[in-house]
Amino acid sequence: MTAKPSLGVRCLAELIGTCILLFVANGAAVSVALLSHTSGQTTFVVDLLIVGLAAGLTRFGLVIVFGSISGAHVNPAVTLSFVTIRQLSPRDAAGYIGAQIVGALLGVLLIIALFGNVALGAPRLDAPMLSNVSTVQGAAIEALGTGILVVVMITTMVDAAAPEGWAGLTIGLALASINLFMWPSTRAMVNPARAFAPDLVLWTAGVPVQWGIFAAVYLVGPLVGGIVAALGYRYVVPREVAKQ
Amino acid sequence: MQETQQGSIQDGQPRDRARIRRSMPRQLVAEASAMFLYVLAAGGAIAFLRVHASASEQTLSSAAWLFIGIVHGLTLFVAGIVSTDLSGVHLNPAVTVGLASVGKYSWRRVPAQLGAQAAGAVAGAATILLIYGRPAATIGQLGGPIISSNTTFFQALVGEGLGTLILMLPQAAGARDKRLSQGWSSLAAGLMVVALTMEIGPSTTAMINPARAFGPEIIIVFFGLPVNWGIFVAVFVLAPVLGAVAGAKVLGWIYGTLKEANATG
Repeated sequence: MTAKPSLGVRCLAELIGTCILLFVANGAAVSVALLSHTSGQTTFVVDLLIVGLAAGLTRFGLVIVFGSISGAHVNPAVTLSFVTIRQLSPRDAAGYIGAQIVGALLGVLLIIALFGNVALGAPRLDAPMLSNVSTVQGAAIEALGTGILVVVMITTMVDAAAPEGWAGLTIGLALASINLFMWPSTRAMVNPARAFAPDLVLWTAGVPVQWGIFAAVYLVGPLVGGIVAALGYRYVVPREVAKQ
Repeated sequence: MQETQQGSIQDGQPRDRARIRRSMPRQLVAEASAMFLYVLAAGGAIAFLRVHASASEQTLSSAAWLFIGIVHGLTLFVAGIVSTDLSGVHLNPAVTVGLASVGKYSWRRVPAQLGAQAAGAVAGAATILLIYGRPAATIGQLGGPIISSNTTFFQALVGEGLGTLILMLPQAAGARDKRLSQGWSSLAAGLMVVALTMEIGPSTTAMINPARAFGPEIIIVFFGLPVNWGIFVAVFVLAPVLGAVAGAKVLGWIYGTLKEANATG
């Protein structure tokens, strides 16, 4: 296998990657929300398509750019799942997750730099929000989405089951499809860092945030979903069977 | 595949063929033609949609920005793939300068390359005018940059600068990594532009490309539309170039450590 750069460099890649994911994916959601706010047109389906594509296409670019450096996790749930299948050491994972949270916060601050304080208002930085679902349903949906993402990442990046080079596009389009079907209910975070950063910034700005829902739906849900999916996948395809 | 390669090598030695492909005039013609088509397609789409929206007294909707993003991104992707044999067109002066700043493009070639990009962009904008007529210029501004009224100067700088920085990353990665240079970096750059246009488009039209902004801007001057060149240079030239250089430098450093790690085992 090819060598990896030092942990510090890989953490920098995770930081920049998570920052870009938040800036572009959440930023696109803020952008279309502001647009329909000012024009008064309701364009829900198109907005949904834009949000899903922005997240998926950005995710694809991140795997292309940072895949060979850090694996482009940009997601603490993915990082922890990789620890449970012994693909990453706990020490590396601690560094990754710290970098992801800092990167996510930076991405949110850049969204505010781009759109101004209006982003704190109606679009709410695309912060996590439940619509028409209970806390339990929300947690289940987030767990399911994260599980799909984790299985796709292990299959394409770790086991190299996909044809050479296709990991990025597969992961990106998987995230896009997850976003398209989950955004209307939980805003499809499937990523504790992506949910935490906007919530923290809003809370700091004095907007009330329901931390209980955050913990149950956007922290426990993705972490449990990701880890269960990773272990379940390893049961079906053991390490010795995988191509690596 | 192997046979056709063998066959074409008979026309000259492989070394000669590489030199001919990379010869300056050929690359400049390719760059100018690609830029012409890029501005024509992408700018034409924006100009058309602006005229269309103004007929019903509306601003561009989110669907329009989705449309515009896809036109920009797909055109960029196709141009990148089609020109693989010419070691790739840049289609963006900021990308040219960014690549030069990390030694992936010769500084001596930069001035002529920028000239070719500007010429192609102006020709593309002029052709939009020929196709769609006067309203494309007076209402559509030939698909050129418009900073929305609720976007401050600082916000415009952030949008264009960061947008170009992000666009630069896949292109810089492609210049460093053989596997990516075989197409994936072009697709990543193209699809990144789709996402970035949907995000930044409503604020600054998401040019993230000095030549793409310059072509339409220079022509609408002749239609008596006011152009603030100070803001234009800061937002649509300096911010993208600085963003691209920053992106290329950071990514070049990260990939440099990857190379070292591979070299030491």
